Amino acid sequence: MVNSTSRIHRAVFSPIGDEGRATLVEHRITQAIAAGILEDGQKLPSELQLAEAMGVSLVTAREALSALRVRGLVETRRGRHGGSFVTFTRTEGADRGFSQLASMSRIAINDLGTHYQAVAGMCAELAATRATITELTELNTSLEEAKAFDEVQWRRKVTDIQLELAALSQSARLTREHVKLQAEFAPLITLQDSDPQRRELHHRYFASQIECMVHQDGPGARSIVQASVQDTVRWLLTARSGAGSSSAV
Amino acid sequence: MSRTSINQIVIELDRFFSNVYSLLEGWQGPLEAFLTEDQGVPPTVSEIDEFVRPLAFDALDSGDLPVYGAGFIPAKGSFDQVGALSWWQGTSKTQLTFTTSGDYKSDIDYYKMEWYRVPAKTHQRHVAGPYVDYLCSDDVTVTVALPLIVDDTFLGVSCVDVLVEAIEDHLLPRFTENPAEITVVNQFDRVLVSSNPSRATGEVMDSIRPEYAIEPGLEKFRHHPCGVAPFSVVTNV
Repeated sequence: MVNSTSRIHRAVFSPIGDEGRATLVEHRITQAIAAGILEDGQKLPSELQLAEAMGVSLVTAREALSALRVRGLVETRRGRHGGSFVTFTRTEGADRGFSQLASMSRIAINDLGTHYQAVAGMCAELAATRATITELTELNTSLEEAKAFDEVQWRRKVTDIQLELAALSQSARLTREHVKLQAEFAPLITLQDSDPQRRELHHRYFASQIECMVHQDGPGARSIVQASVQDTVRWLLTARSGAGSSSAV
Repeated sequence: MSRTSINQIVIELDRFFSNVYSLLEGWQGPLEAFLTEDQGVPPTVSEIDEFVRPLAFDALDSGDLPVYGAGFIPAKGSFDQVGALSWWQGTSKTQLTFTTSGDYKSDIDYYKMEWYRVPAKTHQRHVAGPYVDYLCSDDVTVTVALPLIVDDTFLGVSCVDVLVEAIEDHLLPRFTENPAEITVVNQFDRVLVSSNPSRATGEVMDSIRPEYAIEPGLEKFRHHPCGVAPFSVVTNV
């Protein structure tokens, strides 16, 4: 599909102003894709056209397109019918999660779990001695409120709580690592969410973790985080091998 | 440790935070006028962005204060959309923007964060931190917040982010002047900066929360409170 000349489409590619940076370009295009203004299979302007239309340098336009490719939102094909095309199908999160699960080796899933445990576990240990009772009480309240949420809201809330818990380590580096790992792990972790028993289990892990922190028990908080990640990894490996919800092999 | 040295540090901190508050106070009149001018028609998010940007840029360009981020956050419920805050940060003065999908920052309920929650409730100025600011700076930060109150109504909060690294730089000369141990803590006894290498930013002094009783045999400390910001200079007795 060739570029539409409709006003809405033109607005997507209109000049972006002085702040013209790759991320702003990327964000505007991502928003348009998410909102359905740019459709799956639609051809984007060329790098040069993008740069001119949005008032950014060619380098910036290239950077943005590259980022969109990495995120799987855009595909670039060479040749006669080449160009950059939107690739975005509005599939359920679960479809994406399962295909990610299938595409990862057992060893990679285990290793992601190990990495995540190391960072999240350390965050929990530090937070145990560095968080104040006020901060932990706030989190407990949020956690309790989340009990009543549907699975999508619950996961959002719980992700927020995990991020706050990581930040209570007072380590900027560990928090940033946690963010990256959580982004990688999230589509897989979310696969458990349709099962209320799994949600309840993780809810209990969080409550116990916070309890340890209230008592300034660093090693205890770390062990719980590690146990919960190991539990998730076992569940994922079982799900991957298609063995259903029976005990792990 | 000399009284004068402690006083100097208190004075430095007071001057620093006074200057930041003055900066934000300068925004209040114009902001109020702008937000309330068209009685029935509140400004759009873009219009607020346009209005706040030059204010934020001035703050970021201020040579005397190490401002890392600045902007205005309208009161909850003002707009029916995610991420309606007008915030600029960094040496390149980039605007903080959220995408609608796949951006963890757009899922953060920032109305629960201390720099919003407290001024919204108390209608008083507030300083939050040190804390890891995973919404804006992605670094250990102190956020100075000034609420905009019109006719007893909270319309939003003007904030400035200062990286703790910058405060450290600012105070280091004072620390090196003295061999004795100096620690600056916030109202929760959380360490902002310390000349003691065993006390890291973010730790709660002596790992004992104020809520718990002090164990006998522990070192006693003296707090020298600052006037403007909720920090204290702590020294051994």
